[in-house]
Amino acid sequence: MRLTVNPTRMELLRLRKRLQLARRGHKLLKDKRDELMKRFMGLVHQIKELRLDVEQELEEAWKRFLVARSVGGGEVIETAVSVPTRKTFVEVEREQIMNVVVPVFTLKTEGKLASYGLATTPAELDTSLVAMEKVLGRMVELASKEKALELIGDEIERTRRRVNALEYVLIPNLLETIRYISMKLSEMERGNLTRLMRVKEIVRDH
Amino acid sequence: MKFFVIGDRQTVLGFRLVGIEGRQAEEREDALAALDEAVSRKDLGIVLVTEAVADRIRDEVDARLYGMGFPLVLEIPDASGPSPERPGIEDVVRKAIGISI
Repeated sequence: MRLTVNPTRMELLRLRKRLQLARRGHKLLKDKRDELMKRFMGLVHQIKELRLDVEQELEEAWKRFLVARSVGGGEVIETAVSVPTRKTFVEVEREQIMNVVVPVFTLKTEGKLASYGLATTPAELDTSLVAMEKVLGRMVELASKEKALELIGDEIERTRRRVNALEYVLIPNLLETIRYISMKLSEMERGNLTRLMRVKEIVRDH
Repeated sequence: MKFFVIGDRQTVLGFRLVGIEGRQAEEREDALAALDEAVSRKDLGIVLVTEAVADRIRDEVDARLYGMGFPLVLEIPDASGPSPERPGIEDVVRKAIGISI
């Protein structure tokens, strides 16, 4: 679709500048999109592996916990863990990947790990606790990676829209308008020339 | 920021071992209430939801999963192991941005 502008030389120059700018922007955005894609794919692979690891480790931890429960008896375990001395929390930092702000979590723990008397509880409870603690760190990593993936995905989508808008809408429109103006200008030029020739002929006849 | 876990009795108990509080939720209403509570609390960083519970409130979980802001929602398998029909990362990616890998 042609832009609605006056077919003048000034406008033509302005449009040529705009076209140049659009082409440069298009190239830059395309590079950005490609780089984002690369990161995205890298993250996908990392997450895939991490997911599997976490699931396996968690399953292991659950198994141990189940054993602990059946050995020690449900009530014993429940009283043992009812007042946890351990405090677990995460710290959030912000990191930038290609201008996308992603949260990065680090796991922080405080206090004694075991909150129960050793005499009344089975040893399996201890091992399940350690296993749980281990998988927790990986889970935190997984959560921040998944969030980063999703944020980068959004950014890719946005960038792709921009690239397409430039490539299929703005640049063709500019090209068409430039063509239209230069044709109009040469048409005017030709019209002017014939008019001049005609005027000259009339002048010579006198 | 803290963790929060929503799941069955066993899961909540297990995570309490390592100092993470949680809420037991077996039914859809419980799970919804628990998720609402978790989302409205400002001190939470990551909310762990077991797959079994997440399946019951799929829409809400997905909305949080792909939404912006805190807390992050992470689905984890419960004691019965990962469920086989959970969508893999390829599906998630395809759904989210329409790129197949």
